[in-house]
Amino acid sequence: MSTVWATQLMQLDRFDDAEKELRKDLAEQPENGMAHALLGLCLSRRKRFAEAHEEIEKAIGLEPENDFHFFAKAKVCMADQRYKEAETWLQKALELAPEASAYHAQIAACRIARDDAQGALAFSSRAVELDPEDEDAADLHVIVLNKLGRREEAAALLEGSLHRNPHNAYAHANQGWSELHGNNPKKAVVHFEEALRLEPDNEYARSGLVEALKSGNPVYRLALMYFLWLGRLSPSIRWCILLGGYAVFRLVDRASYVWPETAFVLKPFLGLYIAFAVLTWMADPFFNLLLFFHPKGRYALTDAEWRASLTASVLLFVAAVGCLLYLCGFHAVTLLAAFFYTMLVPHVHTAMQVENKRHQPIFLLYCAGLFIAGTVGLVLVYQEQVLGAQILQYSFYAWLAYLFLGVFLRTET
Amino acid sequence: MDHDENIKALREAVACSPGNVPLRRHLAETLLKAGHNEEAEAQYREAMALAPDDAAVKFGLARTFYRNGKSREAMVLVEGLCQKPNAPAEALLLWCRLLRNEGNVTRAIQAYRDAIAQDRTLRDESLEQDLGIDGAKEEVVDGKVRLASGAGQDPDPQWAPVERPKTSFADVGGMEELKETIRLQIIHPLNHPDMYKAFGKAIGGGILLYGPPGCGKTHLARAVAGEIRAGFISIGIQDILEMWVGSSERNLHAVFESARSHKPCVLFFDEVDALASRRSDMKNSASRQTINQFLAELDGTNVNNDGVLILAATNAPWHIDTAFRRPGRFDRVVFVPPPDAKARREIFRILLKGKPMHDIDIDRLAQKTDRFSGADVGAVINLAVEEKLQASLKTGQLQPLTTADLLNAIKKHKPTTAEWFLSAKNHALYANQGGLYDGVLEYLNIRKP
Repeated sequence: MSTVWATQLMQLDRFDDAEKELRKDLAEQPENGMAHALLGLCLSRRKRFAEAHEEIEKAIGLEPENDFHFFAKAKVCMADQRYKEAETWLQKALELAPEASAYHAQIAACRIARDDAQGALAFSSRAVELDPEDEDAADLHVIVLNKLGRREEAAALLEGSLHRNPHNAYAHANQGWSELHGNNPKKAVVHFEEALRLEPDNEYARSGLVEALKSGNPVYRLALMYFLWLGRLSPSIRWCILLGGYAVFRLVDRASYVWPETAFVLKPFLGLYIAFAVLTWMADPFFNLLLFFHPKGRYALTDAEWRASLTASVLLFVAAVGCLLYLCGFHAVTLLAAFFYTMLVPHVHTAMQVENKRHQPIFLLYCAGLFIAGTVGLVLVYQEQVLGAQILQYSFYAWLAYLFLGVFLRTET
Repeated sequence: MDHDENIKALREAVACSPGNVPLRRHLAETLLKAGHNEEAEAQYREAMALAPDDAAVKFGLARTFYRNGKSREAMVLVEGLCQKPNAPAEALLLWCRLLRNEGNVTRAIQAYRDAIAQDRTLRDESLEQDLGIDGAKEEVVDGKVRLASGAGQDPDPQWAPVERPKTSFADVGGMEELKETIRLQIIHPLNHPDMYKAFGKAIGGGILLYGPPGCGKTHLARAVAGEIRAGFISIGIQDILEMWVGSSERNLHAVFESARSHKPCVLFFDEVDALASRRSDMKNSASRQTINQFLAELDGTNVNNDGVLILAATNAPWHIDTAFRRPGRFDRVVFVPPPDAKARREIFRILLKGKPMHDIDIDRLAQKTDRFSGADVGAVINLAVEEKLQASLKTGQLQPLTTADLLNAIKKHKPTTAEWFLSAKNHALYANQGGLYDGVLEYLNIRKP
């Protein structure tokens, strides 16, 4: 009986009280699988993952035919940001209850977290098909459809969701993101604010609000349109475009040397390419900093986002000093330094905001390594040692490899 | 042989053979018959530890729990028994009574029928009447528990023990501004009702205190009662949980009645979000009924709440149903921030009293503990004491606490209010209808966006 009250306490976010109730219950009925599973979920909300896994494994051991326990296990894995593992548990839950819309929806959520909207589609649409009233399933399906650029379908589904429940914060946030995809940042702000009014802790709406506020600036809007467009593509096509773009850049660059008479056309093209590339690297840190002067934006950023922006601005400041010194006639290495520290900005900025706490140290150490190697390389170049140039060359390769590391860890989680 | 001798003999037998479950059960049963309920419970518990699957022991313990007023524990055991096939008739009958007390009449009737089908001698006319069953025809006439007739257990008087707190505002360190607000809103209206009436200012209604955990909301409520020399009834989370399970409406009514009969009285609901949460958050219909009852009691529709000051405290005001903030209910909402520097100085002084220390700069400590709750200050001192104790044990000489030790501990301890403010900030920024969270915005130095 007390599992009912524990569930109710959990609905009120009273996880400590729920834990006490469940432990009391388990002292009398140590073989109550549901109590173990719920206790696991409570512990996971308190970020005590090892204990949470242990409790849920007990539940599964006691009642291996209860699909809820597998679902609970998956939820703990998801809270612990182990999406691949979560999916295997959800598949097991589905074997026991193939018609459960929530399990399909959660697999879709795992796929979205791993940046695989295409893979999520089958699960989210099945979830909606199984239970058209399931709000979570509908919300996730809208996210997937938006990510795949199917805005009309998303809009129709959203309309239905909001009609059924006008207080669904996720649906309002989804509407905000739909507007962002459709390049309407002003309308998006209204929807995100409504979502936050209904659910002030809704992270999906908060991050949307940040993007929408930054998009008030046309330069950032251009970058955001590019990011959203890139996000709608499948990962392989995304890489083809990024690497293809770089290859074309190198070819055009080469061509402008081989046929100097074409340079007057090719050089501005190359300039535009570089400007756009720099914009995509710098847009996020730079415009986050600008939000400081925005009355709403100032409070919309998280502490991690602020820290990342401030660190990025320090690097940019160092780079600016480098440029200035070069212009004042100092050694050419100062220009090289400016270039190197500017290159570091996007990597440091993303590393400081990596959501997965297990992965973040890898990214931060990688960036620290790059920073140290580059700085040593620059000093050696200044001392005219060949080793310096070599170090800088390898640092550049490492810089490129970082991009792949990010994608690999994200999709393999 | 009378009961006492019988019990003595059985006790000796159990002492000789402590692992004998039937013998222990027999002792427990005899104790129960003799009215030694507590001891019977202890014996049944022992028996249960020896044979956790023994149905007879389970039923015996459940019955003892029921007698001892521990309905929830009884329910857990009986439910397990009754959900198995061929459940004993007596267990079904007990289940029926428990379900009735919970207000779950439909299931109670079913359980009663199952019990009677097995053993007609168990028929209980008063129970039938209570459940609206016509025993002769075995038909449900009026499927509801008749509260007005006073059926079932009487509201437990232990729900509402009244205390007379000796603490007053003088015992609450710092928080001067807050105390002044409370004086204006509560104490002056009670002391000068005529003046308030002359200016057409309403008196009455409840006050909701909210703020991060461990910042003295309960202490403050008690001090309010002391300040106006009123009785104080405190209902905590455990009572509320039991209300969810037991006959909640009657218990809640009993609490209010107790306050009304001890005027002037401060009725304080701690962690009130569990009792007054948004009805959309409560999926369970029994708790929704409790919420409605709570609203009715606050309104005092058929009774007079004059002289009863209703205070409530919560860490999660966002979970509270907006219906509770309507005029006459908790229409005044007060933010209780973490203690200010002056209050922290006091807390340090009180908690450090009697500990070996050397030249402690309390002002500096207070300055370095911004946003620390009273509980956090306690944790900091504990941390420093533990380290000092270890060092003292190593050297064999008592080493006194120094400012540096405490500053070190402050660095290691993250204030527990941080998580609360993270959530509160979001609510204050995005869901501040009617200026509910203005106190939080002011404290965080955020201009209204």
